[in-house]
Amino acid sequence: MAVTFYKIATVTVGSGGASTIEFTSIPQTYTDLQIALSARGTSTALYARAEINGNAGTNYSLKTIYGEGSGGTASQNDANTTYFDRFLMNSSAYTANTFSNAIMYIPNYTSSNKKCLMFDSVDETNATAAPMYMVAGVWNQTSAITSIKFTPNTGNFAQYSSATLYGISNS
Amino acid sequence: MTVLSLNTKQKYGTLLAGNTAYYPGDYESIASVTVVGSSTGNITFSSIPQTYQHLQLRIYARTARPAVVIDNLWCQVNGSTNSGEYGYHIFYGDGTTTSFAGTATGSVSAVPMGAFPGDAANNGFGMSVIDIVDYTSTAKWKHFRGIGGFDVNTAQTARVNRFSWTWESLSAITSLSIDDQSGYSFSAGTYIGLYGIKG
Repeated sequence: MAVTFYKIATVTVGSGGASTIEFTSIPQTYTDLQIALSARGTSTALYARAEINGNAGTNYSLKTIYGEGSGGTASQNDANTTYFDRFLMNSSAYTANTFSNAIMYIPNYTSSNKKCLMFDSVDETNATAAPMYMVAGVWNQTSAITSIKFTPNTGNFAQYSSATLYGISNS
Repeated sequence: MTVLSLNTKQKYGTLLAGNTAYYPGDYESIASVTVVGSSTGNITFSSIPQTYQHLQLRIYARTARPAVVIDNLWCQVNGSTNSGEYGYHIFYGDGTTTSFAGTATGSVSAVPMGAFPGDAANNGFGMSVIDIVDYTSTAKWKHFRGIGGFDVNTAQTARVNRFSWTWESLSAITSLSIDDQSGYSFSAGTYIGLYGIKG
């Protein structure tokens, strides 16, 4: 049976935090990519933004379905933005030692098609309400994906935040 | 050391002798339980290796609950029944409505692993996939993220679930025990697999 799931790289944020978590020079030898993210911010950041290949153009669109406890459930459209948003991370105001739990899945990342992807993230902070987001999106570009950068929407990633990039082969 | 290939007579500097190195991959089965024959009570994975970055549980199950179709599985970590250590949230739909439920710590002594059919489902099964990140970290409460559900081809007696929960402890996870919320056994054919993901 073929082995199909490989770790490419892991980033764990050290003391002092980090402004970004970035995977560069992503090998072009897999079929799909998957990223596991456990994140917390040093400020009031609630989202990590994801940017592909350093592209800051209005090439990112996404649909989100979410539940937020007292806020009920809803769906949202974000079109032609300059990054993928809605990737939940715990803010510094959340209960100590709590981190988000998130995954991003990118199929066919080396193809010359526009890149579809999904991500799925949840927070917990020992409260009645906590957000859960599921997102489907498209990076409206045809280049192969060679780098992915996560940035908190404000502040830095806190110590012990971690991200692991995996490559998945179909053979 | 020099190795001589018996096929090509070529000399190599390593024992690989021209072969591609075998790499076992970074997603491995740690253990699995399959219920065969009679029903089984709780399913526990103990002595979980501390050598991975993340864990994943994959559940395919039905319970022996005879009358009610929607049943819930729950999980306890490291044998803890302390309600002060568990909090959870669920976002779910049944084909007509969506709902959100959850709690901070103090009200439950285990946390949800998804909705599954009882035996009334007539060979129907439900499934969940649960990801546990950084399960050995002593700096983080342990955070579980899962998705799953089931359908038995009957209106509103099925459910799709997205759930999230914490075990509010800085201890590494060494055991996971999965049980029916109401104490029913797992039916034959149930399968639960625990996987380790390297980092």
